[in-house]
Amino acid sequence: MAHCREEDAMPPKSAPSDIADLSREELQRYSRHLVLPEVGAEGQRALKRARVLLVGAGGLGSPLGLYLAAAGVGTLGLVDDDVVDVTNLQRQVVFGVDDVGLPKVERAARRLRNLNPHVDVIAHHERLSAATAAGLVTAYDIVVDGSDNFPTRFCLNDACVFAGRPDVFGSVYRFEGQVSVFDARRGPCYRCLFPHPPPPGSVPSCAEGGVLGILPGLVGLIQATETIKMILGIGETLVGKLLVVDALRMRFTHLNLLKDPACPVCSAQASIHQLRDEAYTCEPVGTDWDGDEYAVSPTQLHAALQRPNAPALLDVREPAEREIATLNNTYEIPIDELPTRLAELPRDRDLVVYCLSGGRSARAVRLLREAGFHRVSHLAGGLRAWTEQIDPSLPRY
Amino acid sequence: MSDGKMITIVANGKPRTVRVDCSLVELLSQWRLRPDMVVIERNGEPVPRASLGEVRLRDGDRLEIAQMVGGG
Repeated sequence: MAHCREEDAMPPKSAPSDIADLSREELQRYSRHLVLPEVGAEGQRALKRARVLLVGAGGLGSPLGLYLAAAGVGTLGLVDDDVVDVTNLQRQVVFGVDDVGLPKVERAARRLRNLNPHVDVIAHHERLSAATAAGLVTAYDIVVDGSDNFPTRFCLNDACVFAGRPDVFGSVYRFEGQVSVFDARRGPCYRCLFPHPPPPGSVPSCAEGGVLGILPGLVGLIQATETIKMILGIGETLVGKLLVVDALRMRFTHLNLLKDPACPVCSAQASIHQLRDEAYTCEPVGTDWDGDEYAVSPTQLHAALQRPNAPALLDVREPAEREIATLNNTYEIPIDELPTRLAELPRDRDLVVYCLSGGRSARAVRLLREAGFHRVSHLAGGLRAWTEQIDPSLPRY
Repeated sequence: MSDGKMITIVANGKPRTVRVDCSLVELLSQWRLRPDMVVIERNGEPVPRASLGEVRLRDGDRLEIAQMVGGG
């Protein structure tokens, strides 16, 4: 038996003959796989036995879910706590207009079951966290990271290191994508590359920076390819390599990676021995503003703007963002240009800075205060919070 | 090249001019990149984070620099 090889790649949860016999309908459905010598009936049965956890049912999760279900992966778990938003439809192709406002995992599961009823789709409507990650990860053989935030990515990496599961990593931003297979048993993990999440505001989210709609499709399909190859035990995987995709130049580059001998989670010197929830990093929300002495709430700003000595408003977003929605700006200086355009701003007047969600404006406040602007504050939660609390007529993005 | 103290390297496929003997840490700081948020390969070999300060760039070096990206 090929038991040892399979044990290494993907331990079967029960005897193959119990669950992985292919019905007549399946033999027909998978015929283009069955004629490939590298797949064949044995490979198709391995796909059927496989249990794959998809974390994130969004831009990456859409193509991942569709193609892994179509390929006949027997058990697909979907984890996401979000609901479908109209801004998702530009790239999250598993959803349609009828799904807007409904839980992503439930709508995606419905679509995948319709695509392939031979797949057991399990919807986990929750946010992956230190409390839940271990249980989720150990119930599956292969984990695919299609999440959209650093706390989830780091928590998932650590859970995979502890449970000995491969983590098929993918991420996107603007026109760039990255893919790797992190498997601490035979190569580097995510923390070998990046030991900890970035400091707040240093990496913009896709909502703030944008992403070309095709990009998660491209990257998600590369993740799906790696997942299927691992299940089949064919080809070479991206263990120890980072594939960087530059869609503008259509440049695909492999970077060789090293296992970090000082990695905080997978090395002999590890300092992290249990799962933990990292603080949020790029999308500041609600109560986190309590500790920010220079933040003003939308209600406070709204009241201040009605007074005779109303503060000036400085919009630090990009021009394209102002085309979508804007307040009555006094000054408009994109955050990257701010250091060289300080002379345009008044020092003798109250100034409130804002952006989309509060990350860039917080950076602007630090920069302006260091430059001697003492009457500057910023809008907590940015234009999003303003739209929610003060003016719902503004378009959301 | 008038003073002979600049060299040309190729970073992510694009030629860039840098000061001779520039270390990778200096280069990152010049380009406003944090050492703990990038992965670097130099001439096909991965550069361990611990040696970013020691590696001195040479004329014709080919760098691939991947920055931390988190979207999905």
